[in-house]
Amino acid sequence: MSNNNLIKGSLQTIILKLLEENDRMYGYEITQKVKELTAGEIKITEGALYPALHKLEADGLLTTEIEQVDNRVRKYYSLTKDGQKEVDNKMAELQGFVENLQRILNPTWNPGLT
Amino acid sequence: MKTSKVVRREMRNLTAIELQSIKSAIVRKEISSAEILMEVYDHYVSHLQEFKEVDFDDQLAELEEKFTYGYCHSLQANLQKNLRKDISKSQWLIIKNYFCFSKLIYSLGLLLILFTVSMNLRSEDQYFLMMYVPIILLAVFSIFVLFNWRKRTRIAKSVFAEQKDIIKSYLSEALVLRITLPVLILNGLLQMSKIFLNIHEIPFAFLPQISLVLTIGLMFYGISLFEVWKIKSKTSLI
Repeated sequence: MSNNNLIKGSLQTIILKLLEENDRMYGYEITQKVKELTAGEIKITEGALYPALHKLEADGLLTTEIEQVDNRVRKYYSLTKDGQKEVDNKMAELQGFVENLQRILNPTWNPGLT
Repeated sequence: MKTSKVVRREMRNLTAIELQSIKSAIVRKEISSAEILMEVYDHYVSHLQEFKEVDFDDQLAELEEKFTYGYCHSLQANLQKNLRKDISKSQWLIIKNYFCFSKLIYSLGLLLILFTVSMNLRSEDQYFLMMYVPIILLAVFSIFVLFNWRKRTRIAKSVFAEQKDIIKSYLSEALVLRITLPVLILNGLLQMSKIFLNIHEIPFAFLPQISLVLTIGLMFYGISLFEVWKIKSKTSLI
């Protein structure tokens, strides 16, 4: 199974976290940032990225601004107030999931005892 | 096909021929939403600017595999669906805010003016005139949105001149539909009452109440939609 399949369920959390740290980003920039941070190990596919961005925008977690760059329009995404609140929830959810996964994969692992 | 192994370098300006190749590839997808069209175009250009000229064709082909006709059209369909929901949600939030403490005086003031006007009307024509005012304002508003729609999609139309006739702002379209909705519903109700209830005109005894309720409803509807437009016009292609 490729990393892409594993990453699917966490895509929204990744986007929200990146936008929390980078203020505003456009679609292509997000794919490049993820590639850069993971040394190319994780690639966000465009097929998943734009539907996720549009969904987050429709849910009121992201807002957009349009800027003219050369002879084209660039759409920047940034977090709304609700989006900023949601980052912590999503991060806690994901961290909980990773801990549970660790318990399944490595039953001797117990973060509370280390 | 070369993929991630291709060596990237600093961003470069694409040549006119390369830009034309990108446009031709995107035009084949028959995207009508200016929002999606410009986002896809920006993605293509941003990506291809990072590669050398010799890699251009391979990289363009790679993008074409990702941004298929079906994928772009599903993005459009989802955008259309989400926009309708988004406008409804935003409008409802704004209307609710009118009755919060901070805006209550403003809302009560508007209601008071409408009540006062309604109490001073005497003839049937005057009551109809009161109902027509918000409808006329809604019509003016929709013309204004349509005018802005043309202005805002100008860049998309100039870049994709071959398909300028089909390019439209989905957000503006959703908003115009929303603006005309109460007029369509009212017209439908009038027609149905004529057909099924054989009522051809509103009895004068009910006219003051009906005209007041409709005017209040249409005024709040129109003002809240205008506020939605104000918010969206800062962030979108409308």
